[in-house]
Amino acid sequence: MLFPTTAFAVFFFVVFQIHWALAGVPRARKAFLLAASLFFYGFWSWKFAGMLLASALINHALAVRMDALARAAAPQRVRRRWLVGGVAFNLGLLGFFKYTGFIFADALFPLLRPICLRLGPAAVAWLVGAQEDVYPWLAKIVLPVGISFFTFQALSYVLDVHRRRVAPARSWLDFANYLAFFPQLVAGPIVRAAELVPQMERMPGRAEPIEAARAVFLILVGLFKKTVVANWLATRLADPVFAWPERFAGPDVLLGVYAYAVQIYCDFSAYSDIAIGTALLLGFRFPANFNAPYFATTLQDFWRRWHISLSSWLRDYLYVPLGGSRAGAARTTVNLLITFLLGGLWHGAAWTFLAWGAFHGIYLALERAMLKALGRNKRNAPPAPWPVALLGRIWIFHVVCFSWIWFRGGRLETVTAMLHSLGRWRAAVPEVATWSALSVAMVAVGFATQFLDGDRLWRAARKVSAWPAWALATAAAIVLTGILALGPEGVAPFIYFQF
Amino acid sequence: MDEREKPVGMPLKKAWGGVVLFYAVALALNAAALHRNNEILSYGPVRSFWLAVSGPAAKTCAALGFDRPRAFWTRTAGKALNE
Repeated sequence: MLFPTTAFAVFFFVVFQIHWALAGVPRARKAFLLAASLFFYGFWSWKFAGMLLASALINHALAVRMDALARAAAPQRVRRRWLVGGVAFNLGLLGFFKYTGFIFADALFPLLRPICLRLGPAAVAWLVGAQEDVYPWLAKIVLPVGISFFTFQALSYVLDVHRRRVAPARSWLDFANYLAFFPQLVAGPIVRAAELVPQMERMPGRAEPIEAARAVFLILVGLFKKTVVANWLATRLADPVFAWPERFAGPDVLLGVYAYAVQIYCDFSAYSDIAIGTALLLGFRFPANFNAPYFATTLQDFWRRWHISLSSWLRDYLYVPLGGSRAGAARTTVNLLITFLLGGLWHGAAWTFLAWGAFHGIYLALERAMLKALGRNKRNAPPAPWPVALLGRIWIFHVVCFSWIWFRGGRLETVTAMLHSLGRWRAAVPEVATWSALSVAMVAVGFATQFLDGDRLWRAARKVSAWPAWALATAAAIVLTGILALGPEGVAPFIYFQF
Repeated sequence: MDEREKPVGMPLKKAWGGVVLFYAVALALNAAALHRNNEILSYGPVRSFWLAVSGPAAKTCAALGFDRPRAFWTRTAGKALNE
């Protein structure tokens, strides 16, 4: 079920009514919320909704067992065995659905081909037979929507219970609601157990005020970014340029890359905004996931602003346990590289995602070294003068744009063609061009939506919050109508659904 | 706590009323467009269901002239943007 659809609007209206009507009966309310989340997921596939529920039950059982062992002062190696079991279960689930195809089709078989050719006809015949057996089986593996998101949530829960940072949820129902909660189920934010499980256990009460104005603001901003800006940029600029880069001249390809940079921000941050807004209307609070990422002055700063829930997850559960920056420059570089290579793989099973991750890891290591040499690596270092900060912003935006070519390219041939076309002044097909006043305006509008992130407009938001409910509701419906009128027919799925 | 971090909320009853009113106004303003979207769904029980739901709403709202703001926006800004 997609957010900007009539089906979701009807679904949410029903859930909102029943969720608050059941406020006096917590257990029924929790059961209803879980049923609603499974229905939301089952709308796409009932089979995988069952798998999601099974994952919740298994992870909760593991967490309860680890907690019981810790309370009974069981040896560390026994507790560790359960932790390894939990991590293996979650990574196994993710690995099977997401990486099996990549391992066989993009890594193993291409590696075996030259070896078998050298070994002779018998080896070649064996490889051909193996491929004929494996490829039809690979074609049957369907990637469950949002598996990377809910698996990472489950992993953080198991790891945090093992480290005794959080207690296991009071009941499996609370944990299942945490894992399957429909607003953030398929594309995040990746909310930590410490933040959401207590809210699921307690459930928002009728006496608590609802941040309706903020919720409505986030939902409308998200709808605008997705249905008007991201869809327009995708269909008019980014998709054609990435589909046929050889047809375009360098400036057109450059605008296509800018358009993709703005599109992916508008698309993904829109999902987060709508998720946070719908959760707020149900009385739950999520942390922010974006904070004007293209205003970053360093790449490190960019990762503090882009997909914050994933970057902080990778920092806390991968980078820091690997040793972080505590063991010298060489080790820090290796840790950064491992973290970002795996971060790249998290996004998708393709060599271009690995290259994207490697680029970010290597750049971050170089940036760290450079900032240290300039004495600007301290947290309390004075801010750079504004011209330097502005140049830093422009530079980092282009560094990130360069990495998006790998991210969006999908295949090495596309990336090469994009880079080749960037250096060509004239288009292969003369009448094909992307530059127009409208194109530039749409890229600029999408870029400017970053001003809506965080609490940059908090004064205006406070004023709107003081409006009576009827005025807020009427204004929101009118703005929604304007957004829908500006958007194209039909709705494209969110980019991050595929991850 | 910083003033900007203080949550500003409204009582549940008012928020509930606001949500119901929002849905009513949004439906009134968009029923005709919604019905047109449903007409291009692929044939089957889903399409029949949505048409049965949106048809009467679209007729009523069009008779009352509620579809005009959306039609005006689509004709002007929407068309300029999407053509």
